Amino acid sequence: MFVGNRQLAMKSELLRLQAVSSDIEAAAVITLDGLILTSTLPDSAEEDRVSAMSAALLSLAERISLELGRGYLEQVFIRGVGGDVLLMAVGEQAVLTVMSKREAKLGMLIYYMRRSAKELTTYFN
Amino acid sequence: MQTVKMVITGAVAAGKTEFIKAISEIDVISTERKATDETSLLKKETTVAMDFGRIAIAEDLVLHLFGTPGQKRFDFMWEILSEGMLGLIVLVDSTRPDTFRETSRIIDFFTAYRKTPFIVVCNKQDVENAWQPEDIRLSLRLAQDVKILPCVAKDREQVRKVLLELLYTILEEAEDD
Repeated sequence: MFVGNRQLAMKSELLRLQAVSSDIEAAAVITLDGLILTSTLPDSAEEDRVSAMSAALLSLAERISLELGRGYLEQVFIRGVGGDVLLMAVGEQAVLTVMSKREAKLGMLIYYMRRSAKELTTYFN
Repeated sequence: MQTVKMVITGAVAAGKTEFIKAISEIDVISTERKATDETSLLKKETTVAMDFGRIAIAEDLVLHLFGTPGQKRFDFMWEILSEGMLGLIVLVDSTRPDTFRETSRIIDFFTAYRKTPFIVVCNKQDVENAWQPEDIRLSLRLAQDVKILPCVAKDREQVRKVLLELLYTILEEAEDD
């Protein structure tokens, strides 16, 4: 994939996010139709899976949120025995997905993600 | 009340979402997103998780229709959606022979691991350069006993006919076993 300035800038934002919270194991920015824009995941096969799954999950969650009168979707939160996955909308064009350790403080995590998501929206205009 | 779960699959832009929207009597639950990959050359929006529609065929018989995404990267959804299905409809875009190979691969994916009654439906027969169903059968190397039907997925009556045909196929195969 073509690596432009925008991708580099987004990547450094993800690295910044990981630097502020050591509980974040990986982060990715994904288009709404499930293509990776940038990530801190180690290999590209993993990137493709995470991105497609994030897009499917987010779109379903959004349908549910709207249908049940909760309005536009802001976040999806998944807790597994081994850790958490958080998805957050980045404007109307993308998703920020973060995988964290189980010990992570959820409130802090959401706070950091929000800050990053806001920063990331500036790359979509 | 009997519920039959059917899965509608096929390659990108075969007409899966349109097929379900044509027949469903509830508002279709669909998950379409703006396409940003090569799919955007074919259509503006693409399904990323699933479509869900429902149609009562008789007073005590309801069909639940689950449409899959077309792109390979969503194949984990193919697995999830095929759980508990009784029959499968494979849609083919009759005007795009370059998708036939992908269609074969999709049929293998769904039938490899469990024997599932399925029919192949040749969509977009109203377009001038559409291939004939029997030619598509040869191209897909389908066995003679697999049903292959022409269809225009925009047309509610034709979609209904296809669903009934799959229903018969399910019943026939259930009797054989």
